[in-house]
Amino acid sequence: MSELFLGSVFIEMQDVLASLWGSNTNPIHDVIIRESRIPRAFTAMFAGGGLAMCGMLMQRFFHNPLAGPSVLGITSGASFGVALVVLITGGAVSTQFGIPFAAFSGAMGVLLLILLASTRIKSAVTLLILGLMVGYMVSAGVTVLQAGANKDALRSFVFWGMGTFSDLQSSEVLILGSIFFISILLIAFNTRRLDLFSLGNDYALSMGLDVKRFRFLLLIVTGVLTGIITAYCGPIAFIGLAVPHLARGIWQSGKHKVILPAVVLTGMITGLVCDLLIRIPIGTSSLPLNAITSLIGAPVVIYILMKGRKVF
Amino acid sequence: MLELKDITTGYNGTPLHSSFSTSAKAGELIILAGRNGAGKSTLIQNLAGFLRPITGAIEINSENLSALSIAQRAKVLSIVQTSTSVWTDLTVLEILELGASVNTPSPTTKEITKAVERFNLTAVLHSKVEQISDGERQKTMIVRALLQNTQIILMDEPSAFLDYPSKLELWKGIELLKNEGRTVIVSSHDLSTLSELQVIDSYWVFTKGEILDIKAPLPLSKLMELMD
Repeated sequence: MSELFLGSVFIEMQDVLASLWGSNTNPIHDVIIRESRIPRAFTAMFAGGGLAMCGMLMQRFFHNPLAGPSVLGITSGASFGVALVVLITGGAVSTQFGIPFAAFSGAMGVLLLILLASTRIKSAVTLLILGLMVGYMVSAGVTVLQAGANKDALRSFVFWGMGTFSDLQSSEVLILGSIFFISILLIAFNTRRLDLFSLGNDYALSMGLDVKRFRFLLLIVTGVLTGIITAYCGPIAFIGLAVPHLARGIWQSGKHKVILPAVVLTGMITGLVCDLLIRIPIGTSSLPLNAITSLIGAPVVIYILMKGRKVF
Repeated sequence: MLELKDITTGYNGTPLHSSFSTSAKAGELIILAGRNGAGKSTLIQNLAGFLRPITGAIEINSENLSALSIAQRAKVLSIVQTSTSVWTDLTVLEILELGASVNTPSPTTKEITKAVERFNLTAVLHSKVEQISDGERQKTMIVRALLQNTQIILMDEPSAFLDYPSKLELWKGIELLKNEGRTVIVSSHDLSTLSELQVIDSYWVFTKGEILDIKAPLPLSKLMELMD
C-alpha cells in the first residue's frame, strides 16, 4: 500500500482506497493512482518476481550459485538493441515503443543464438562461458556505438541503463503481466522435474527426464521473461542473482514446490521495496533503480560467499 | 537379461577396445576393472544409454537399448554415481520421494521407511544431502536406485571418496541388491576392498585394448596382472 500513497505527491490512505473502489472525488489524485502508481507497483512486482524466478532457474541450470538472468547474455543483447536504435538515431527514437521493441529484439537475437548453441553443446559450463562471451562481445559493440554517439543519444541510453519501473502504461503492464504469469505457470507444472534436474543431468536422465528438452524449456522461459522485463524496465542488476538465495535462506527448502512461490514472492516484495527506496529524494532527483538493487544485492552475494555454501 | 553383442565403445568414433560380447543375468554382480582411462566409465555411459556404442548393440530382454525411449529406459535401468556428483539442497527424504521416475507417483512412506531401515539411514532422513557424510550420501543414492525398482543397476566408481567403514557398508548394500535378483554392474578402482566381497559373479577386465569376461573367483594378484 505504501507504494500507492508515497511519492512526489503524498496521497492520503483514504484517497488511495477511494481510487481503488472507483469513488475518488479528487480527479488529480485519481489519475496519479490509476495511471501512474498502480501500473508502477505491478511493474515492480512482475519485474522483481520474474527476475528472481529467472535467477533461480539459471542457478539450477548451471549448478552455479552466482548465475543470474544476465549470464546468458540476454541483458547485454537488450542493451545492444537499445544502443543500436538510440545511439544511431541520435536519441530521436520513441521511448514508448521504439526502446522496448529494440531491447526485446536484441534480447531475442541473443536467446536464439544461445538456443542454437544449446542443441550442440551438452556441457552447462561451456554454455555458461558462451553466454558470458556473447555478453562481452555485445557489450563491446555497445561501447563502440557509444564512442560515436552524440550527447543527447548518450544521455538517453545512460538513462535507460539506470532501470525504472515507472514508464509503463497499463496496456504494457498487461503484456508484462501476461508473460510473467504464463512463465510462472510453465515452471509451476515442472517443479518435480526441477527437483530431479537438481540431482544432475545423468541422474535426471536415468529417471526418465528428457534433459535436453527440459533445458530448452528453461532457456526459453528465462530468455523471454528476462527479455521483456529488460525491454520495459532496463537492465536491472542483482535481483535475479540475490533473491533466490534470500528466499532459500528464509524458507530453508530446496524443494521447488516450496521454493518457487517463495522466490517469486520474495522477488515481488524486493521489487516493491526497491521502488519505494528510489523515491528518496537526492537533491532535485532521486536514486537510480540499479544503484538500489546493487546496494541491496551485493551484501547478499557477499554473505553467500562468506558462508561458503556447498550447494550446487 | 542384458546382452552385449560385438560392441565397441569410445568417443568421436575412436574405439577404446576391440569388440566385446557377453551377457549378464538377473542376480549377477559384475565388476568392471581397469586402469584409469581404460574405458570403464565410457562403457557404463553406453550401458545407461547416455552414449551409443560405436559398433554392435546392447540389448535388454532382447530389445535394443538405443530403440528405447528415455522413459522406457528409466523402467529397466538405474544408475549410482560417485558421492561427490550430488550437490543439491534437497533432504534425503525429498530425494527418495522423487521415486521411480518423473512420470510415476512417489513411493509410499512405508516403502521409503523399509528401504532406509535396511541401509541404516533413518537418522539422517530429514537432513539435507549437503550436510551428511559421503558414505550416507552414497547410500541415499543406492536407496533411490532401489526405489526406482529396475532390473539393472549401474554404478560408476561408487566407492570413490569413501572411508573404509563406508566402503564396507556400500558393499553390503550392493550385496542386498544382488540378493534381490537385480543385475548390478559396478565400475571400481577399489580392488583391494572389493576382494573381500564374496558375492562377485564376474569381472569385465579392461586389458591392452580388449575387455575380458572372467568368472569369479579371481585372485587380486591375477587381476592386477591382467590390468598391467
